[in-house]
Amino acid sequence: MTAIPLQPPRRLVEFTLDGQETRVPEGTTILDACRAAGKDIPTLCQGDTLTPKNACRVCVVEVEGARVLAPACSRRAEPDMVVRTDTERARHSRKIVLELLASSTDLSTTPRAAEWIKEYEAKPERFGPDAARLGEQPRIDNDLYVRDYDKCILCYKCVDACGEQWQNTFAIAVAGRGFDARISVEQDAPLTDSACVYCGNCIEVCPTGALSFKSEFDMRAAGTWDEESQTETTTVCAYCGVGCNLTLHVQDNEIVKVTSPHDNPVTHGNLCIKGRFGYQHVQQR
Amino acid sequence: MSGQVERPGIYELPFGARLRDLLELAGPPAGLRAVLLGGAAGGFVRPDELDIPLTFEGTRAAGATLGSGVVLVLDDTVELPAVLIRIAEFFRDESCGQCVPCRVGTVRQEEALHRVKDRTGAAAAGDIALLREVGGAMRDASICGLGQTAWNAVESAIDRLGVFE
Ligand code: SF4
Ligand code: SF4
Ligand code: SF4
Ligand code: FES
Repeated sequence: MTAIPLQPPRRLVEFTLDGQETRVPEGTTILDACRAAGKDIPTLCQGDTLTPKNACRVCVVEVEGARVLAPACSRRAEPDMVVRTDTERARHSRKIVLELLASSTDLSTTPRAAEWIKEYEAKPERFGPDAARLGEQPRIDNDLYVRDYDKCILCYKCVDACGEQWQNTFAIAVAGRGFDARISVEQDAPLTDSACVYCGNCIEVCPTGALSFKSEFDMRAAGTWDEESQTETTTVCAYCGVGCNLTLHVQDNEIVKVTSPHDNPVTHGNLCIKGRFGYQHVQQR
Repeated sequence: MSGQVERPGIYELPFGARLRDLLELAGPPAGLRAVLLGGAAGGFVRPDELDIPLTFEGTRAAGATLGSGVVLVLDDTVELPAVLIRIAEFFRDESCGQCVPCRVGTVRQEEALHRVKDRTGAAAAGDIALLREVGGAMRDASICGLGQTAWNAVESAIDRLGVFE
């Protein structure tokens, strides 16, 4: 059975998207309208279960009459707005954003980054060999997950998932400013000395692989991580009566990580420590 | 009013006074090289542009800005590339770090200015093109006014003062 949440009827907004008259329900973002029209706009800090901070700026589009570009993920369609998604200006800013990120951050596990860099002809190496990089080492301070902030693009998704948008644990925040800003627990302590409850809901939304299961991190380091060969099985968590959905990622008959379906109308991809990490008993042979 | 004038300080002038009037009051330097109008987020004007009226419309028409109201006067003994590096350092330092164009763009701007500081002409062209591209994205795609204006002064120094020619 699929639950269909009831919503009050919404008025339609008419606007022009790349020359096409478009009608969308009031409140729809430009990005949602683009996706409904089959347009593929790159996104990083936007996620299907969160309200974005529009921090990455890779989704910018041109709105006629506006002084600056607009983030498609956050700007809502307005009546009579004229939006163009593929202008020279919008493509230029997307290219530069990709270059700035790729020249400072390890994007090797960011899905689609390589594809977009090619599509936008971004050349991160043109900032030269001395271009400042984040220069972070992976933080391996617990048995469950690793924080590799060299891969972090500061998208704010983990902070929002841990804080007011989902978990309400508030274990992590952005510390520092400018290029020195980093995601951190209080006092930059090891995770084991922080407020973290290991729900892994930050890992679920991280778009870069900066946060990953220890099992995935170790297998990548050993060169044995093979996503192609993995199966994904969605089942029900056996621990409590809530009955969250778990998706078990299995490689060579071992569970290598656990995610949760984002379209679940109750949990939206969120779990607790038991569902997320408590699978070892399944593999006691 | 600051920089190389005889009497730096705070001046109150009626709207419509010209840049020249303000300079006369403060005592201009002998060899005037440039005036930074509007503070670090503003833009440079040349010594032959002192007739600009100090109004919002007048400065806008001249492609400049009143900005914060700061007027910084530089004479011809000043190394302009070093002043640009100082401005770029300010923006890199002030960036809050929320958005990518400003957080990383201000760092790349400062790095490129360090590379070109002793270069001119063809030797500087590559980095100037890079500055222009990064600057355009900072202006167009940053979240707030800080990132959006972080390249104004550098751009005007290149285009109006011809600093790396
Ligand atoms: S595991 Fe849960 S509590 Fe810990 S930082 Fe991530 S979201 Fe917050
Ligand atoms: S750790 Fe991941 S989710 Fe958190 S800010 Fe960095 S990239 Fe985003
Ligand atoms: S443009 Fe504004 S929001 Fe973006 S990093 Fe700079 S100071 Fe922060
Ligand atoms: S996806 Fe829109 S600003 Fe990041």
